[in-house]
Amino acid sequence: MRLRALVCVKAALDPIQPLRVVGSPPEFQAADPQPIFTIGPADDAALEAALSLKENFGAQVTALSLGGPECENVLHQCLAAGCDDAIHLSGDGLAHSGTWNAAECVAAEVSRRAYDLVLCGDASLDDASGAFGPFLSERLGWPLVFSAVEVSLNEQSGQLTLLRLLEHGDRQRVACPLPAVVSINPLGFLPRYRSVLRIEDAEARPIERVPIAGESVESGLQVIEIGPARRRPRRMAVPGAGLSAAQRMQQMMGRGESLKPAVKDKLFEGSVEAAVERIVQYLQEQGFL
Amino acid sequence: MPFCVWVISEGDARRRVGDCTLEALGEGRALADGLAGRVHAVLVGADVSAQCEQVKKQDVDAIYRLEHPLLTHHRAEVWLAVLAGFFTRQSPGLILVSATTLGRELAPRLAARLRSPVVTDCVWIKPGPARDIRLVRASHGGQFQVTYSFPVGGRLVASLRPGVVGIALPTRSRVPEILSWQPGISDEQPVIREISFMPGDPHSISLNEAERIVAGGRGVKDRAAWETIEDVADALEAAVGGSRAAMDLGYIPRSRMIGQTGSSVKPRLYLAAGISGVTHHLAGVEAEHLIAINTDRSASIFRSAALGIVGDLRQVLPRLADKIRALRGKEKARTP
Repeated sequence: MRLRALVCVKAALDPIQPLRVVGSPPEFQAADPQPIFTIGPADDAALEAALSLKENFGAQVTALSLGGPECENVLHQCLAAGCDDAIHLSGDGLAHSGTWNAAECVAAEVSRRAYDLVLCGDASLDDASGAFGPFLSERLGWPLVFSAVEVSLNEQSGQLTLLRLLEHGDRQRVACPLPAVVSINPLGFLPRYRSVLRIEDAEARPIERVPIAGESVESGLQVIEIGPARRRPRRMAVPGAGLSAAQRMQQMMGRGESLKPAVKDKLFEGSVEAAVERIVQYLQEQGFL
Repeated sequence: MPFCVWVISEGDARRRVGDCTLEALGEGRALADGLAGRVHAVLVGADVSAQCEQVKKQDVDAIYRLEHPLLTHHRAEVWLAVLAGFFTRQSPGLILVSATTLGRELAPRLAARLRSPVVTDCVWIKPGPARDIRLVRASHGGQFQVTYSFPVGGRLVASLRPGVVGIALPTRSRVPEILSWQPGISDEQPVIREISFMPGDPHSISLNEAERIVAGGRGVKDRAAWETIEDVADALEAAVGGSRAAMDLGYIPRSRMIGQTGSSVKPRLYLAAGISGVTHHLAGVEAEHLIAINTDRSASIFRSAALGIVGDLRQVLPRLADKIRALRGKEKARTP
């Protein structure tokens, strides 16, 4: 049976253009009357992941975007890249109705059409909350694989095999049954080039429009200010007040110095063998060996 | 009911509390103090005894131990089920998690299950003037910062970006209450099955993520001596770095240089061989344990080192690498 995959892409304000903050509560707006909307790198990687499933396993890939007219260009880009069809969940005010509402709308559409797999980027280009994939997973009641850098289908078991990228270069390979939501880490996929000719052809292809209404939920959380980025103070370890001024200066200037009490006999002079034993003993005491 | 900050602790494979959790505990403490509240640490894992001992030294009012054999790391769906069950039975407040890979998945999903709002990837959390919580997060690629307000009294989930607020040293010693909570996990295996786990390759991992670093400097006189640095790094499963001098001598690329004009590193272990310890190198080093090897007894690196060895690295390092490999071989032979 052919895998039916839905890839969600957001039409985000391209940050290369000047943005301004307007209104109360404050929100973003492009200074130019004809703003540029684009697909973010994470969503682009999700699109590439979906298309790789199409090429390698014959999956049917549908692109979906939610919002106003700005979604049209983004969906045409998806069709130009190779998606089989595209859906525009359209409605005024959807862009400001919040990530949870966006997930609700998409979940309703997914349930209506019986998809097996939903792919999305792990964070959008603009807000970058990273909450859409997790919210969608909760709303659908499907398992979520977060931060995937490789996706393939085990045709025998019908399960997905994915590689996740974690901290410190650690990686985890997992198997996940379908249906599932997969949140893609952009480090794993290089988006393919879309030629001008393909984009022009795609602009002639129809996009299915589904009108929906955006509903905000009152949660008590309010945006009270949007301003330029400014650095916040970062805590630093402060030497104890019980030390002398010279000792406190020494600690503040010696960045590599621990504020814990010094190891007894911390300076070692002796034979090479004894020095090696001393180092090994220290490493064992501190749990490195 | 006093305001509570619930900090979900995240440990590593060696069962230590991560730096990101220490940052969250410090930020939570500052917030709770400003709102006359409490800080509760929530430790989740198969065995959290080591984490509990570390968290006791932080300024927390209570520690909750949630232990079960299935609660190993990187099992977000199991953590989620346990934490959702736990928090529905606790007083509301701020649930704070670090914005690690686990936290970025956990925070929105937990908020959805608890029907609470969520603010992800915060860079700053402080008490507001109107008995509210003020949270700041970056937006649009860091060009802007968005400030949110949430009144005290409800439940909010937030994730804190690691490495931004810094770790606060506890200013008070407080004896926390320690409570155990028995998670009810069904015997069914989680839906997502782990096939394999691959630790990061120390040769290619970014220096600012490396837990262990072996670094060389001007005291490494030739290529043969530099190979002893790489040999010890291999034995210790550590990344290789160096001072500016090592880069100028061609032993390391620019990406592996540590110092004021290079990478800033925060490893658990920093083994510095043939490095004098000038300020512009040590400005990039914030190590938990610094071991220095140098022939010059008066080298300034010894003032910063937890253990200093006055000796020739060309003699010490090869024997050290052999000794570590021998110990590792014995350990592997003992482990079935």
